Amino acid sequence: MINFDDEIKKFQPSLEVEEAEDAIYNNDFPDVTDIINKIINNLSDK
Amino acid sequence: MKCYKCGSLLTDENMCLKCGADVTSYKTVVKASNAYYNLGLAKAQIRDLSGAIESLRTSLTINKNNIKARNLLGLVYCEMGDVVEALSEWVLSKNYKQEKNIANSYITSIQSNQGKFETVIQTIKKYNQSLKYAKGGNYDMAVIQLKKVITLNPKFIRAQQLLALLNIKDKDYGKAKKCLNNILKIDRNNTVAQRYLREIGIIEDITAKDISESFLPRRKIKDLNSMPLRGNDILLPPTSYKEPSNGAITVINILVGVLVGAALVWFLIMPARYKGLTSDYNKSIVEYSEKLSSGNVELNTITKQLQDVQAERDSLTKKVTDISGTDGNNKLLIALIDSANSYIANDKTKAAELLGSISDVSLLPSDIAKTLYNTIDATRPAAANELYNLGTTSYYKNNFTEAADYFARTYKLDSTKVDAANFAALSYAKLEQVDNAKKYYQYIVTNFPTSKYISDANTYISKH
Repeated sequence: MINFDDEIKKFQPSLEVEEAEDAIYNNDFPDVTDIINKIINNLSDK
Repeated sequence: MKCYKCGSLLTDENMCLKCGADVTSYKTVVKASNAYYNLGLAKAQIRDLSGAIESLRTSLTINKNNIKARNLLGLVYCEMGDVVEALSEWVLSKNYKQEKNIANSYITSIQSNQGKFETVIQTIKKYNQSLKYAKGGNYDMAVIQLKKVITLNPKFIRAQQLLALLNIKDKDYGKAKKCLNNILKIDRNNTVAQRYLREIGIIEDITAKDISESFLPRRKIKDLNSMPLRGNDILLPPTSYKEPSNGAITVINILVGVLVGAALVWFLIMPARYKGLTSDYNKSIVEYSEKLSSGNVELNTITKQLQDVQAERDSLTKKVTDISGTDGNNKLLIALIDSANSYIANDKTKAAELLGSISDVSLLPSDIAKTLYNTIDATRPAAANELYNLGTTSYYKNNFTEAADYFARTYKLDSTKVDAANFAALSYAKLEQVDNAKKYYQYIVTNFPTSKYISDANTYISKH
């Protein structure tokens, strides 16, 4: 059975235009390529 | 594929021919990212948008420079009504690769249609507002807003999902199913929509079962006439007997039928109709209340603006009055004109005295006025001397009233004349005007502490 109170908690607000700038700036997280590059660089330094 | 170190094109070799970097692992990672992109593309092509988002996100987690994956992710977001997320992805894509990037044309396309973009942005705001209403228990308002949102942007999946959930809460499964089917037309494998539909199916099955169990099962009644005769069956001959036909009973039966019909209408149909009308009426009230509250907000804003404008106008009017009124520049000019009149009439003493009301020549509004002021002001020492001489004459004639006036005016014209201050004090002392006498002695004490009159001044002030 659907529990309304539990379900409504899962809904999140949609991103608004004013928040887009923050979303873009906060997107700069390392990907797997970055991690591998870092590992290779560390190995070559040693 | 480009080298992660120097950016030059890579060959089939496992090292960069330009910088010599080992690109074995890098190539594997890029291939994995592309594989997830292909998976995402395949899912998007069969309208499994949720699945496509998942695959494309994985592709970007592996390689954030995968421009194709990022552009497709933006496109999928846009299709699901999340336009701001879509724009964010395209802006990032443009940032990673500025030229020959289809994200540029997507962004341009949105920017060129500002009206529609504004509408979509408003629907996002309204959806967020509806979510607040729903979380705060204000379900009616949430439903009204969501209906508007879906009318303006039918592809907005989040809004359709929330409206479906609210309809399920209201046990309005028909409307909920409509929303959920709309979602599945856009996103075929939307897990939330599928789960809600399954739950609705279970609820409807249970309801149908309850209804069927509340009545006796229908049995097929066999036609006895068509059955073959058995040994124990009794055959009755057909009879011509009929129920006595009575007109009064027929009329009573009709009346009872009419009454039963009226009662049915009254107790079954009318309440349902009234309920429908009341429901419509309540919805109208909610809509009008919403319009009224927004109107009140606008009215308050306009009233506030009006008050601000009025305050600004009053402030400006005051400034104009201060500058050009009889207390401002005009007052100075009037004093200068009066003084000039006396000067022309050769009454230089009066001219100098009238000039005294102009405290600072720099306040005069023009250079001509300042020149005129300086011309008249040059007569000030002569005027002071003339008044001083008149005062001395009056003093020695024991006419202390006139003397006090002359000396006071002298001191006003030339505040360096300590003799005038002393004679003014003496005249007022003779006239027994202690306050005035003390005032001039106080001038001596304050302004001329080394003068010969200082001891007399101190003595008088201490005694009185």
